[in-house]
Amino acid sequence: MSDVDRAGGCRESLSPTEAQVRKVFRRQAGDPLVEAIVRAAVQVLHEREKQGIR
Amino acid sequence: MSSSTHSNEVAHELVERVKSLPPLPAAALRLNELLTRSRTSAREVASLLSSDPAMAGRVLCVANSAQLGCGSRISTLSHAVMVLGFNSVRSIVLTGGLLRSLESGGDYRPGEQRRLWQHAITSGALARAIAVERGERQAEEHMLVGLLHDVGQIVVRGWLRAESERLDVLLRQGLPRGEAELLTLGTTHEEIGAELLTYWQLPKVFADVARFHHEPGLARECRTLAATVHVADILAHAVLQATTPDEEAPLLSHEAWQLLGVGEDRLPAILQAGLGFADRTAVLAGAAA
Repeated sequence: MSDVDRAGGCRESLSPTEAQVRKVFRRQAGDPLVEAIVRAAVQVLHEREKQGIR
Repeated sequence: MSSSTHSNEVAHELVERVKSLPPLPAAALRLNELLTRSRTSAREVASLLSSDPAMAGRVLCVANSAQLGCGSRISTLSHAVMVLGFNSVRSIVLTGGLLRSLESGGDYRPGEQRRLWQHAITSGALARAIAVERGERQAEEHMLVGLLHDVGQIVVRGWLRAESERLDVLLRQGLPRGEAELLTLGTTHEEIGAELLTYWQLPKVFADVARFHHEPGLARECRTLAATVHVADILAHAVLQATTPDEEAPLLSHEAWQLLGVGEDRLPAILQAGLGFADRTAVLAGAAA
């Protein structure tokens, strides 16, 4: 099982950004508060990507 | 001797070893002190700035960029201070001072200096965003404390190259950072940072937050500020993942999060505000490149 799968995500549906964020939190996967941080970070990073901000 | 005392002493010895690390400019320290007083004039701040030509130049440059399109050119420091405001001047001077320390003398691996700088600015900006969200009046202080909380990492990465290489081997083997640092350095980056900030003569709260940012519950005198920086540090790891693909985020303290009293639904807004401020600060400090 990969780190991403272990983190509770479906590997096929993850964007590269989300996969990277989940990798950073791989040892804390499953913690609801960490999950909220991951979701918020992915949302904001995707918005910045759309605006062309790195 | 307790292990904690031993760790403190080792950290002190390491900072003694890296005395070649340039201090924060004296004028930056004095300015920080001056701006904490209730009655400080723009003229006093300008007079202090004029004692450090590099700092004065940077403030004038930023003030003139802020005035672009407004016709008049700002040629005096007092005018620049009035245009920018005290808090912006403090951020420009301290971030510029840290950048100068980072740039001179460290033996970094390619890309490492930029990564450390991005983490510092982003953590500071996120600590500020959390403080604003909580209605704290000292949001700028949160920015500065957050900016400097991981300065021990800068010492390890730039000035203790051999130890840093051994540390990376243990981290790649999956050892938690704290254990790996104790094995390679005999102390932690938190202790080294606290020693350096004390050596730089910054207010005690800076050293306390550096020392306890991974265990904010142990910070007796500044627990909320330490909790803010703890959460900001973890949020910075989340949003900078692209630049630190092998780095794991520190363990999140639920007690720290609860102490802040911020709702989970506010996380996207905090991240947006923090990243926006980090972008602007990087430009102001001349570190965008």
